[in-house]
Amino acid sequence: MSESGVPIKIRDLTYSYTGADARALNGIDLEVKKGEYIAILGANGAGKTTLCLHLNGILPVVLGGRMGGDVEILGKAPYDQHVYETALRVGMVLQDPEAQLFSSDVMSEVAFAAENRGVPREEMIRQIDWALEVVRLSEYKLGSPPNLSGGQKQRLVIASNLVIRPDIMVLDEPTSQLDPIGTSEVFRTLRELNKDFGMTIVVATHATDEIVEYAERIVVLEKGNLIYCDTPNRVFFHAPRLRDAFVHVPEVALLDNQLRGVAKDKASVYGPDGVANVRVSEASQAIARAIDAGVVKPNKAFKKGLGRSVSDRPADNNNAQPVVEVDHLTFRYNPRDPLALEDINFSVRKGEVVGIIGQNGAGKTTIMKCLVGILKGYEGTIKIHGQDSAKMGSFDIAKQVGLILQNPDNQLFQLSSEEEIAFGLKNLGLPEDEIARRIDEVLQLTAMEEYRKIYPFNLSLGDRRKLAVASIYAMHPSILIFDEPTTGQDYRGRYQLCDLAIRLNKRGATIIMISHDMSLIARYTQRTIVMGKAKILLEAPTREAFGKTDILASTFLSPPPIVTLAQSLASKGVPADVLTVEELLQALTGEEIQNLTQVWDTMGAG
Amino acid sequence: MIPVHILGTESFIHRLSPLTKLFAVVLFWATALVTFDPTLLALLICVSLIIWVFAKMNLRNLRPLLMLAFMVGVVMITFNGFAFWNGKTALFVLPILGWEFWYEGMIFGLSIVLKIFAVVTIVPLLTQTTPMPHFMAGLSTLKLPYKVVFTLGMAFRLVPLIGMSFKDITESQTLRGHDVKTMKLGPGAERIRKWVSRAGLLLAAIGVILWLGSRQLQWDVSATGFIITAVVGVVVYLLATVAAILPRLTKGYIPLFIPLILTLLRRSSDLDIAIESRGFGAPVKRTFLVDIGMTWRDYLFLTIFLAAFVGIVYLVVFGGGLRQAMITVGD
Repeated sequence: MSESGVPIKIRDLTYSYTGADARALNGIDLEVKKGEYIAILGANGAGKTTLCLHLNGILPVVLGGRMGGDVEILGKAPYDQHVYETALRVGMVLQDPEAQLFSSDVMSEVAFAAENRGVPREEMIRQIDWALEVVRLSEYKLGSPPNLSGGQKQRLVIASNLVIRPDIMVLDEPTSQLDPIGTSEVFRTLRELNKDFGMTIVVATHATDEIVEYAERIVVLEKGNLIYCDTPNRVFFHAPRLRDAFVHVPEVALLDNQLRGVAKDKASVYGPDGVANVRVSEASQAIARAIDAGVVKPNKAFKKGLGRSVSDRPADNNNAQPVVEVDHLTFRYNPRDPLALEDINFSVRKGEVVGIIGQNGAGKTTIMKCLVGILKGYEGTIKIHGQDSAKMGSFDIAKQVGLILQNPDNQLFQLSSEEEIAFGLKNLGLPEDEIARRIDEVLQLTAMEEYRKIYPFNLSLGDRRKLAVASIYAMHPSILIFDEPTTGQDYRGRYQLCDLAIRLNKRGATIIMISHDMSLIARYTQRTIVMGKAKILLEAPTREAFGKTDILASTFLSPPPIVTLAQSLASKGVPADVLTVEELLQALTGEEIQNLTQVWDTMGAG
Repeated sequence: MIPVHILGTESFIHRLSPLTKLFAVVLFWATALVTFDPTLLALLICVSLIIWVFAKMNLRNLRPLLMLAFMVGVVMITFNGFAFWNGKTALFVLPILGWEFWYEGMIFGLSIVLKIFAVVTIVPLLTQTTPMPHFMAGLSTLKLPYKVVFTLGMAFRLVPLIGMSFKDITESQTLRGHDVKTMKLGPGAERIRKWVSRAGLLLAAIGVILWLGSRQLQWDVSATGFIITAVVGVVVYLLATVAAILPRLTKGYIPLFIPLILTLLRRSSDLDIAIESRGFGAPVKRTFLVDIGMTWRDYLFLTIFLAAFVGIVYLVVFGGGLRQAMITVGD
């Protein structure tokens, strides 16, 4: 076949990193046609990044390793030429935009690839203007990369690759660090590149809810093996198998799978066998058909709390004094900056699980940093267990409030997990036997006993996050704050961490969860605070908050797909205030399944 | 030629080629470092300040430097005034001690301060008026390998990044009761440290005074012992100062370097992939977005700069200085 017909051909590709015994890729066969838009899914460590890096020759040319099989990119083997030759036709975008931007201004950043090619100056300027226009950053042409938002930075990286008009664009988890706006901006840009310019797009991602709207084909990897390669509808038909591979199945597809199982011989009402409904629009039509045909009978009095949902669980003592009280909190980073927080007022009671949602820059993390004393000089008061936190030392605050930051690596620096946990306890001045007891306690709680002596940075991201939680929780703070616990996490990692949070809550900890993962907030919080532009826009029980779609939309948020699906079927008698797949399933069929997202056998019920 | 808008405050100086500015800075430095003539140094500083004004740089930014120069100046002038080895003209004599204050020593001390001030004030001509891409393009024009130039540029880029990462890590560790700011010696150890520090200062002062006295009063004793005393005093003082921050260093900051280094290694690995993926190192003649060719501004600047420079040097070195020039004019 000519080079232009099938630009990517991979035959029996195997690969092992230098010094590693296990194979990262195991006999991968894949062909990607010209102009196709494919997504690569898989748990962390499944081989997504490894596969992506083979497409532009970084592996094995730059990073070494042992490779077998054949890779052909646009008719040539990337390992038989220099990376700069492959890079002429294949663009690469990585996960962290900060690590890929190194120029002081936007134009220089975009120009870099063209300069390396020796493109004449006048032509280079035309190409830069074109690239910035495609990614909709023309108005920032004279700006500086550090001043851009996360989504804008990632689009700038795309433009930096686009300037030399590659045939193929490869993106490795480009949206994992972005908020919903940034994510949709990036995926929309890729769609335009694909549709308007015929560019072949290969994107590795965990954002399955979004990617099903764009990808023509899904490739699923598990431990280096390719297990599925088909359209999204066909791939997600195998929801149970994908869940076993720790691939995040869109909740709509999960529901579809369960409904077909319940319907048995009437499953055809939902569509052909082997083809799942993965988008809200498809599922809505299918369920409407099923309701009309009498296959399902919606019940507004559905059982709440299924799916590990804590939304309706009352706090241990509704009349308890608040453990956190924020009064008229106002803050700006510099005198000339706009307000980062404007007259924030809220409180959290003992034993509650509260979610704070909002786009990047809304003020979520700023509130928490004020609360734990990292940021000072704010107006208003913050009280922790009735004490003014401004008068407390950082040490005293650390004993009462534990903040698990988005990047756990900033909190780890000892040589073993055990020493890491002991670090904070020694700072508290606890006796040795108590330190040993608490280490045992939290290692068991987080199912990390086998990692006791392991160097923290040899652990996966998910396990490093759990270690950070263990290290903080060992200090027995009564309040735990999780800042974006699912960033960069695969399906298993995100649910393990959140289940851990609920387990700690059952032991008495008050939990505050900051996230823009709507499904997570729906499942794991009792109350939700919605922030936008430095203010609190809404504070309500989670179930009620997700019904206020206009307020959510004003801050560019939308309820989880399962909630949107239920709301779209309200006219058919489907309750619009469900929060989880399990609840909607029960409302439609009466079937009770406690938890479809079980990922951690050792967690049990509590 | 399609113009490229340059970031920052627009000024005549900003629009100069980085090579022009680099040439001016190097010439300036070479002269400032070689000469000890305070008149020449003062005129160089005047030139530098004129360039500051033309570049629309805020002269208030010089305030901290001025204060530092003043303090250093007081010390250098005082010390050299009394200790100068080749003094011929005594301006005054200290009563009781009978020490002479030499004019030549004072001028020498003054020239040291002016030298430092001159060298530092000209640097912003380059750093504050030249965007990094222009600077890198300029260095490449000098036939420096681009890989070297790029590495230099990345080093500058990394400095704020290291600062930000370190701040993030320090904040993260504060959350576990690891507050570096509160780390210090225990009360007993701190008391001892303070006494040792004062003793060191006293010893240094005694050594210096005795040394100066021996020179002024021409004592028939070797000055070596006094110098050693002064040096030991200074060393003791410095060690005591370090001891004050030792807990912060060992228990506080050093452990933070592990996550910092790992963060930077990870970032640099990603950066490596990013630049390789954008064709870095391709064996073609590299072009540049920025146009750093010489324009009429550069020729004008160089003409005026060189004329002023040569004129100043001639007047000072061959014409007996500005004072002589003024006397000649008056005649």
